[in-house]
Amino acid sequence: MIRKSFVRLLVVLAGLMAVASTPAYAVVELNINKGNVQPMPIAITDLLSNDTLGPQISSVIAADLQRSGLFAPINKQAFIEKITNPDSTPRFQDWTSINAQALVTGRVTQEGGRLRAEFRLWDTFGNSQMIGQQFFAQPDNWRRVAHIIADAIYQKITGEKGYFDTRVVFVAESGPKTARKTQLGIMDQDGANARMLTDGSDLVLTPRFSPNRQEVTYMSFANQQPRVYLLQLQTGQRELVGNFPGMTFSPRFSPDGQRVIMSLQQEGNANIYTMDLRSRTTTRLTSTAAIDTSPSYSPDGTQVAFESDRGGQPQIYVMNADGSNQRRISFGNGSYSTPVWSPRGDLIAFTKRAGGNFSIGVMKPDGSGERILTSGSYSEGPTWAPNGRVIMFFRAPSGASGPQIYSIDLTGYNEQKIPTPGFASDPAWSPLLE
Amino acid sequence: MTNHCPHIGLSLLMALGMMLTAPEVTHASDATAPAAVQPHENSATNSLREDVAKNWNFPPGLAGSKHVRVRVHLKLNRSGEIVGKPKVTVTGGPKGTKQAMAAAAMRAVLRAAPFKNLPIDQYDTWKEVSLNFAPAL
Repeated sequence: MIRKSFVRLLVVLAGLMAVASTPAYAVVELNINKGNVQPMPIAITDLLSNDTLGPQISSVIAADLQRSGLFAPINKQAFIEKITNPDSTPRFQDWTSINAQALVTGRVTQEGGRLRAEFRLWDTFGNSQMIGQQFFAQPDNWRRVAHIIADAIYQKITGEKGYFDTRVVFVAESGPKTARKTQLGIMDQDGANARMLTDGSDLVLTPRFSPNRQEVTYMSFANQQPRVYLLQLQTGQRELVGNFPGMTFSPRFSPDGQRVIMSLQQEGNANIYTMDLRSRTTTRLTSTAAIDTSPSYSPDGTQVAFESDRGGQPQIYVMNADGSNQRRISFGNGSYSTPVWSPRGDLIAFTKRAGGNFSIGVMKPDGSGERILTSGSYSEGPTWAPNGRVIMFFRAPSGASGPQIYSIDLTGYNEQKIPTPGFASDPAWSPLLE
Repeated sequence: MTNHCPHIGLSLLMALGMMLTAPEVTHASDATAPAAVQPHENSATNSLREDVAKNWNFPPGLAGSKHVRVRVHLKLNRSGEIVGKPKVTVTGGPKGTKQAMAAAAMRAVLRAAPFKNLPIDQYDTWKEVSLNFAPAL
């Protein structure tokens, strides 16, 4: 009883307090639905150093952020404050007056043969530090340090994981069209540090990274027999995947790295198989009198998207990882090929051919929401950045004598050519290391 | 150490200084609802809204951004300057996108301030404002 009255008293008191705090005017509610999607202006100062490493690291950070299309690094000539002590708080007004919404400061030192890089990201309008981190690395790895810093900045501001500390395997092409030499190549996502993994004596196709980035699976015509191989990046050791009577092609790893899924061709048909890399047992997933190829797992490993011409022309199908419940998901005009499941799981990227036109697009795993990102001359082979935001593909512009690798944002904007040593095709983006 | 080796002896040792101290983000349920909320717009509040929208700079296509709702509540003095710290409330969408959108909304408000050309005789119509950010993407 007493308790009840006490509660009642509290309710009355709360009501009185609410009345007391009611303003005599109305609070205006304003809805804002349209923003400004321009890249965000960011000031990236040269990290302080006694050598050229500071400015070098800063320029790689700036290039990464600029290429993402989401940031606009401000020309250093416009800077007002000269950062002399990266440990002290900057004069925010000097940065907001040049419209920098964020500021990067830091220093690079070398201690006992090790490189130490520190950086801070500042919210110039909020007058606060957003992140401060330091990294130690061997001096040779300064570019990687720059990519890791760029990833940290990207993630803090966009809320999405970055993708700059990643690499791409690709097929490097050289020589005349009639006698093209192909080599497996590997490079940083910005095209730096490119080097060859094979000597070019055999034709190579469709390299794909393992989830731990240590192996690549690909198809090679070694000994005139088109077969799927596994290459250890660290040792250069190469082995055949399975010993099948026919040609194997179009390999890709399962998300857990335990299996390789690929096509096996026998008597004009191709079906999809998996091979367990430990037990070496193989499992057949499709059995049609058609060409089933380009399998790609969903990131949770429960489903597989693939390409099949069982309906007359190449279309995209999805099935459960055990081969059950095969259903077609692409129904637009033309043919669809090379499906690749997004690391976010919500989209499948594809190549579409309609008339003489090639497009790279995305659709939801149920086939709805098809969206073309880029169209034009011969284009193929999309591959996702590990954050599911950017897609690389290759294109042979009409009139050009060879293909080049391009990247495009999921929004369909910001198409960029990736610099490669020569012609290049079949890119495959590495995962991020956790 | 070759470039292709993923183990490069690179380690994140420690975070320097403090972590993000920027906009204070609370959950919707914690926010005190303003006592008298009536959508009420006039040319003054319209110009305020335009100023903030122009400065609302956020990356298009963030995962789940269409589910994020950010509300920034601010008080203004007669010169159009922000009084105290605006209060940010954010709901919906994935965590990372939520934080990024809340910070972007806060930046938009801080960049747009102080608000000029607000009619002083209508001070009561703009002295306290709630901005509801909802990307129509």
